Amino acid sequence: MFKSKKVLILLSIMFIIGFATTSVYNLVAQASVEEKMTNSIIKIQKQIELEIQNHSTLAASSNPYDYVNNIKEVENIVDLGYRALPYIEQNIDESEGSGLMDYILAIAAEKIAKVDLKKNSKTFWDTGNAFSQQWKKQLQQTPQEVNHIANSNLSVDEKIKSLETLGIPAIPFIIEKVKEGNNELFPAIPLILGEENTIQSSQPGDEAVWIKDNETKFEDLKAYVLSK
Amino acid sequence: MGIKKKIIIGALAVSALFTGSLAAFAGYDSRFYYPKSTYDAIVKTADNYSYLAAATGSYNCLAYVKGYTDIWLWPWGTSNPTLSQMDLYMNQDGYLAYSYSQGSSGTKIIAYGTSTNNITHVAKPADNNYSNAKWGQLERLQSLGWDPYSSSSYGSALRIYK
Repeated sequence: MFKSKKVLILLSIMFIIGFATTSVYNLVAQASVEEKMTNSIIKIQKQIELEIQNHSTLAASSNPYDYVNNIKEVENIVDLGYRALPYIEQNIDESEGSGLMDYILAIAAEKIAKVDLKKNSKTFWDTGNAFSQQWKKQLQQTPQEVNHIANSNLSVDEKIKSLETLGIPAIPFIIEKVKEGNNELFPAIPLILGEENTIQSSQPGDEAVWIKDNETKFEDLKAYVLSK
Repeated sequence: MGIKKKIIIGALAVSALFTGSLAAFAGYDSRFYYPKSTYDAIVKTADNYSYLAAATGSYNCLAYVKGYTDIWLWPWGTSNPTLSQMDLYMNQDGYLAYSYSQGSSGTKIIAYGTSTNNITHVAKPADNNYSNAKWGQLERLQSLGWDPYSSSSYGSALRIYK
């Protein structure tokens, strides 16, 4: 009895250590994305000033896409991937007014998420703040939109095209649908991720293997979407 | 004094007045954030700009003409709008488009472009002789004339909206 008590105590201690280590790791990882975002925003502001000094045509431009095309640091935010999305949203919401930086961050968010909200008049935006409002609505509707598309009478190709327009936020919910038996929707995943050449599903069961290997990677994205 | 002489003197006086006023137009001063060359490259005549408000990324030319100084407003995509797209946008806000004519009464907004396929900038009249605009990231400035920009920057005034 004494031995089993020892084992129980040892197991409990190991569990606590494991839990604490993982929690700290997650916190560090999140802080790392947030820190990188903050550093990138500062660098973007500095690069804008430098570009203006070197190119007066940029200085005079009111087109925010001109700044994105000339400021390399924006790509560093895009490279942070979907984990940067909550911080982009937060930065836009917490900034005073809705200036050029908000707009640049909105463009970065669309690049990360692989969406083009301006294409649809219902999700149109023309300032950073307007993007944030439309973005929240888009995320709120994504799970039911995936469901609606999956259950519709559209052809498989049309379903996949429709899912593509929902972008990366739809992936966790497409995964759910595939797990429910809608295997025909799986091609939307590599299409959205731009990984048609690397994610193969030529053999039966390939989708299930990919989902098993990758599903947990999208858990925080799913939580972010469902938080809206 | 003969009438010819009077006409010549009158013409010289008007020219001197115009040149004097242009030379006296405030131009570059210590409040400007960027080098003088940045601003001179944008106008047809060097120094044809006068400081109204500080350089900031808080708002752009389109926001300014619509009455905002706290939003960067851009309803289009990656490319600058065409004149038709600008007309459509302005129509949606109740403005009517007319061919450019300086001093045209009732003008609220002036649109500029290097061509009708590339509208680059908007300004608003301060009065019949001056125009005010936010120059991208740069300052809010006043220029003499409604068509002060060089062809290599904003281009010519192409449209007015009333």
